[in-house]
Amino acid sequence: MPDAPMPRRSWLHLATFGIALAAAGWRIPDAPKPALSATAEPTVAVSELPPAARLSPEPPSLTRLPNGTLAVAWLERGDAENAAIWMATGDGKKWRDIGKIASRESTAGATFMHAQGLGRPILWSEGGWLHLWYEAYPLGRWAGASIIHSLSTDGGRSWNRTQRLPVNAFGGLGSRLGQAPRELADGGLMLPLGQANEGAPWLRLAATGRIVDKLERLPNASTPEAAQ
Amino acid sequence: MNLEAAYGLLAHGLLFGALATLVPFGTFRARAALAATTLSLLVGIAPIMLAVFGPPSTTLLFLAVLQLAGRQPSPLGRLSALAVIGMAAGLGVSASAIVPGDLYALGYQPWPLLAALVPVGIALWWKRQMPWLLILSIDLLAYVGGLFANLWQALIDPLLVVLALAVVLRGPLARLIASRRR
Repeated sequence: MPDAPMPRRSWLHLATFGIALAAAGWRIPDAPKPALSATAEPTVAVSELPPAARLSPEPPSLTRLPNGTLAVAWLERGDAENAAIWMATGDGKKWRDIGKIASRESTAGATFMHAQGLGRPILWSEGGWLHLWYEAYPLGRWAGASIIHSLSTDGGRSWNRTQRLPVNAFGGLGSRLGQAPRELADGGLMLPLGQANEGAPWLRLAATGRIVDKLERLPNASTPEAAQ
Repeated sequence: MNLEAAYGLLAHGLLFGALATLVPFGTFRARAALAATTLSLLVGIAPIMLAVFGPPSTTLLFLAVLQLAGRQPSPLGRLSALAVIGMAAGLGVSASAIVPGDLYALGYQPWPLLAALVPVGIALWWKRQMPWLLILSIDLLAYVGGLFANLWQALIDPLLVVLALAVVLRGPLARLIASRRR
């Protein structure tokens, strides 16, 4: 230890550090042991999707709204740089267009980040909330994606609280979204990262969309049916 | 707009301003920094930096603010730069699936990280490295305030790693260039 006594200010610095450390411990989100929900994912034959969704270069994402109707989101086909994400609702036979729900412009306006194009969407209904996750490419598809989360409380007509999810240490050039998410028994969600589902990590989210943890594999199912 | 986006944009603007102060503008130093910050926000440099590198860590922002304020020498010396590079190497190796586990995932439930910071903080205090103790406190408070969902985001970012590499390589590169000129 240095010979001179510690000045009073250095004790203040140590106390500030201690308080900040304790506050950080208090702020860590609760993470009870996760278990997959038994709820079955809605499915619709590709031929019964809206015509524009069938042409999408990425797989459309389907979810069931609280009133029982289906909602589908898809990436528009066409010029990759200007392709937007669209949404429709329906009963699986007849569809009603909700319209464009995310574009490069809306992403840039909400997150202040430059995006050269958008990618795969994932739509998820949780109570009265509709979540949308989608890929945004800062430099193009070759360089990796940022994952954007947006929330709607009016069935997809308006979207807000759009923000980028921090999923890796390398800024905006990270993992892409995987296939279908899996619901947790506590109302949360496991969001797949990476193209190959085998071995790719899963982002554990609370029902509010807040990131709780990142897991290397899916947790066990809470019931025997869900395990199948 | 959200807090993280606003922070990221403004912080990248300040980083660009701090970068401009490295050029010897003499008495125009402050004006050059202000002009560079404004320019980066107006012509789209900050949004591109935000998209590619994500929001800067509060560690890097604090170092940039010290640079803008003309506080020399920077707390980022050779030893601290090596510590940053070591952390980045650990994150990179764990992300590359060479070793099991993901070090970055620890930042979402950062109990082990907080436990590791206790001896680090005490050692910094013992060695009277008050700027770094202050930087760590600010990083933790930024995490507490909800600016970052992952504690690693507050501590380290790709641009900080580039800066640390520059600090470590500056001496050897200068010596190499000098030896070739002889």
